[in-house]
Parts: sequence; C-alpha cells; structure tokens
Amino acid sequence: MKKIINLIKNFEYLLILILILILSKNLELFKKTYVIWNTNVFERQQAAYDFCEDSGTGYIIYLKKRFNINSLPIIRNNYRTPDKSWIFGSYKNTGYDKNKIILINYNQSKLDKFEEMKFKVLDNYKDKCFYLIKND
Amino acid sequence: MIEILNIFAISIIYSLIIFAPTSEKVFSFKFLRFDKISEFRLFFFLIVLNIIWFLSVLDLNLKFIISSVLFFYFIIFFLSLKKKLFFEKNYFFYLFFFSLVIFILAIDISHNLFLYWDAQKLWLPKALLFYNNETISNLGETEYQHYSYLGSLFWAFFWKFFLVENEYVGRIFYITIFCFSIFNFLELFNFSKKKFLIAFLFFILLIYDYWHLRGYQEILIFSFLLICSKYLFLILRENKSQIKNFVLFFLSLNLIIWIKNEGIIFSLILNFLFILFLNRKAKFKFLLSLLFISLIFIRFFIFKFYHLDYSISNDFNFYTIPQSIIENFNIKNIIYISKYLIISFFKFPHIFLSLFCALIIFFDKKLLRKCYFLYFYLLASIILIFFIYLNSNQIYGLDFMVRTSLFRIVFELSPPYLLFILILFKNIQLKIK
Repeated sequence: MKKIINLIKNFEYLLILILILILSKNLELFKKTYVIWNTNVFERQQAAYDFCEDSGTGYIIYLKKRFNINSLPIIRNNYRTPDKSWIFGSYKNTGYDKNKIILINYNQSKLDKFEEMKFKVLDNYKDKCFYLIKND
Repeated sequence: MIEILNIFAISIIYSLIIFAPTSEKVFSFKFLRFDKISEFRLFFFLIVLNIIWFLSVLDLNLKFIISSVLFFYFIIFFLSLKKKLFFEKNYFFYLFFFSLVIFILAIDISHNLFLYWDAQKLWLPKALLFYNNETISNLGETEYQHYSYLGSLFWAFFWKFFLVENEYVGRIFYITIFCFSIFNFLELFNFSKKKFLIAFLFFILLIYDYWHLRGYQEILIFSFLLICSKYLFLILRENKSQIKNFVLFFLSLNLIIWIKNEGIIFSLILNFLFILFLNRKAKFKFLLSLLFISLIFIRFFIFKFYHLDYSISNDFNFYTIPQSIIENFNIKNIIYISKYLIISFFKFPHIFLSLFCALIIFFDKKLLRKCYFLYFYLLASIILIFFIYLNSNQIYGLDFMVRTSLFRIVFELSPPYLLFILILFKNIQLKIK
C-alpha cells in the first residue's frame, strides 16, 4: 500500500513535469528562446509584421533602425491601417517632421509629385515602399 | 543572452510583487482582518494597483507614481520586518513555480511582438502618453479619449519601472496578473500543494493564448473579473459575507471599470446579482448598490473634470438604441450573432468545459438550486451580447462588429463561468468522501 501511495505521489511530480513540458512545447519555448538569444528586438518586431505589403509596419521599423530616425516622419499608406506614430515613440499623430516622408504601397509614377517638391528617394523597396527626405 | 536574463529577472521581480514578503499583521483592524497571508497578499496587490489608479486620477505623472508606489512598498516591507516577516509553508516552492510559468509565457510574448489593430490604434498610444510622463489631462490628445485607460497605465508603469526600452515588459505584467488571478481562484478548490500546481498548469494550458496578449485589454478584464468571481462565490454561494470579501471584490471591480468601458456594464450585471441573490437585509443591498453607482459616477466625473469625452461609446447613440434594436432585430441577425456565439464557446476550451459542467449541474436539482446566481449571470451575459450587437450602427454594420469583437467580449465575460467547474468538482469531491 505504501508503495502505491509513494507511486501516486511521485506520479504527481511527474505529471507537473509533463504539464510544464507540454506548455513549453505548445509555446515552442526552446525555439523561441533560441530566437531571442540570437536576434534583437528590432529584428523580431520587424519579423512580426508584414514588410511592405498591407501595413508596411516591418518596413517602417527597418527604416527607423537603418536611418536612425528619431523624429516622427509623415507616413502615407494607400491601405487602411492604424496610425504608425507609435513606432517612433509618439502617442499623437501630429507634430510630424515635414522633411521626412515614408510612402507605403505607392508606385514610381506617384513619386513625381514629391520630386517636384524637392524630395529625394533615400530608400526604395521593390518600387512599392519609399523613404524620402527633403533636399535643402 | 542579456535579453533572456532580463526576461528571467523580470519574471522573478513580478512574482515577488505578487508574493511580496509581507505580514498580514501589518494591517489589522477590527472590521477588516485577514486570516490568511494569501488573502492579505491579494489585498496588498489590489491596493497597490488602486494607488496607481488613484494617483493617475490626481493628474500626477508616471515618474511620481512609480516613486510613490516604491515608497509604499518599502513602508509595508519595513513594517513587516518589525512584525517579523511571515513566509508561509511552501512559500519558495510556489514562488519558484509561479516565476517559472511567468518566464515561459514571457518568452512567448517577447518573441512574438505583434500588436493587433486596436492595440496600435488605442491602447499603445495611451501607454506611450503615460510613458512620456504625460498625465490623464493629456488624454484628449489621443484618439478615442473616451476609452478607459488603466490597462495602458499599467502597461506604461511596468515598462518605465524596469528602465528597459521594450514595450513588451509592460505586457509581461498582464501575464502576471492573469496567472495570479488563476492562482487565486484555485485556492477555492482546497487542493494539496502538488494537485494545486497540476490544476494551475492545467488552467494555464486551457486558457492561455498569445491572441489575448496582442496589446488588448480583455486579459486584464478577465483576470480581475476572475478575482471578483471568487468573492462572488464566497459571498453568494458560501454565505461568507465578511467585510473583507466585499472589500476585495470592490477593489477589483474598480479596476475593471477603469480598464475598459465595457467594465461599467459588467459591474451593473454584478450589482444585479447582489440585489437578487445576496442573503442580507434590503438596507445593506441598497448601500452596496450605492457603492456600485458611486464607482461608476466617479469614472464619469473624473473624465468630465478633465474635459475628456465621457461617453461610453461613440459607436452607439443612446437616444437611438430602441430604433437600432428594432431595425436590427430580425431572424438573419439573430442567427448570425448566435452562430458566432456558439463558435466562441468552442473557441475557448475553458468556456466549453464550464458550459459542459453547467449542463451537468442543470440536471441535478439539489445542486441547481445553489447555482441560480450563476445561471442568471450566464443568461445576463448572453442577453448583453445580443443587446450590444443589435445596437450596431450603420457605419460599421452588424456583421463587421460581430466578426471583429464578439470573441473578445465573450472571453472577458467568461470568468464567472469557471465557477460551474468549481461547484461540480466540489460536489463530486463531497460524494467521494
């Protein structure tokens, strides 16, 4: 009888271990730990969103990191998407830096208007997403 | 490597915030005395969260709020030291497992940094506002200023608290509250140490999904409503209507009211439950209702005081509610809402399991008699869902509203359903004995 009770008691510990393993497996704990170990927040944030498809969030995060953009640029997207000011740490969609423009889901033909306004293309991704700054 | 260590440290610190080394003897009044350290810890934790809320209402910025909360913690810790710190049996065992679970879930959050539509549009901008040391009076500069803000404030509080630039640090705290609410709820089962942990892991597996942590606030409503459910059970079913149970209930309810506007409506349902099922004198019930109404009144008053839009929702016009219901009330819409409602019951395993238990209890007359308040809540929550969606306006349309938000509302309304599992379990346990 004692042996059975001991067995059940040990089984409870085993069950706890099994449940932790199931939880870890369901959430891909080891894979995700490996990814976090080998990447930084920017890379993971970029990967979490589409790059230059609908919202273009990944592209905006990429630009922020690559060009070290600290002020809030004007962001125009031909798709309906929530305001992206948060990427630049801003809680309001005002106070833009009018010398910087990010265009998502645009095409080359629509750029002429900006070039006339003395903007130059600093980054072009597949002729669809652009980063422009004003030429002074 | 450093980030993993950060997450590990944060998990332990969050667990220590919950399992704060305190003594219940620090706080002992005739009318409010805590017999168990776990009860006191919950009280202490809810008080801290309510202090954060209260200081924000005074238009103070996050820097000041953080300093005040730290000061409060130090005072309690110091007083506890004087009274001899109390570590109950298995304190470190529970602390270890709690930290471990938080760490596992925190890894999930910090890997998947995706924030969903409303999180980007509503909740994160509000969190950023507080993070940038702005106050409640600046909420008018954000979109949807009429939305409650407390969840965003917690998000910003813990984001700033750790001096780490990553926003997910604030969301890890959401997990902590979620785990703690389950931990607290499971105390009703009176499990032994190991069984308690098995049940805890089982419920985490049953309920947790990253879907809840995409920056939305439903997980917070769920957690605090689960805490309320525990005291609802103790007060209405077990007739344990000591003042402390009401205090813990209302401390939690106040947070619900300030996290999401729906919380205001949920609190009205809970008020009805007390009026109908509380075994106390009418005068006492009247006083309770007055307290409910005061909490809601304060919410609107504060918003009006700071010249914020204080309507519950811009999607609904209160004057056209009857007209909207009449317009939308047809078989097609009823079937559409019902279809999504049924899908939601299957989408969330804990709701499915709870309703399965509710079905079993329904055929046990003796047990059913003791659970009327729960069936009333179930019915009221279903009616509320139909009421909300039959009010859908012409701008978005009923099908869009149902598709995008019904699952979330069902989830946040679901914590009291878990009491069906508890009641059936206790009944089976009694029969076995």
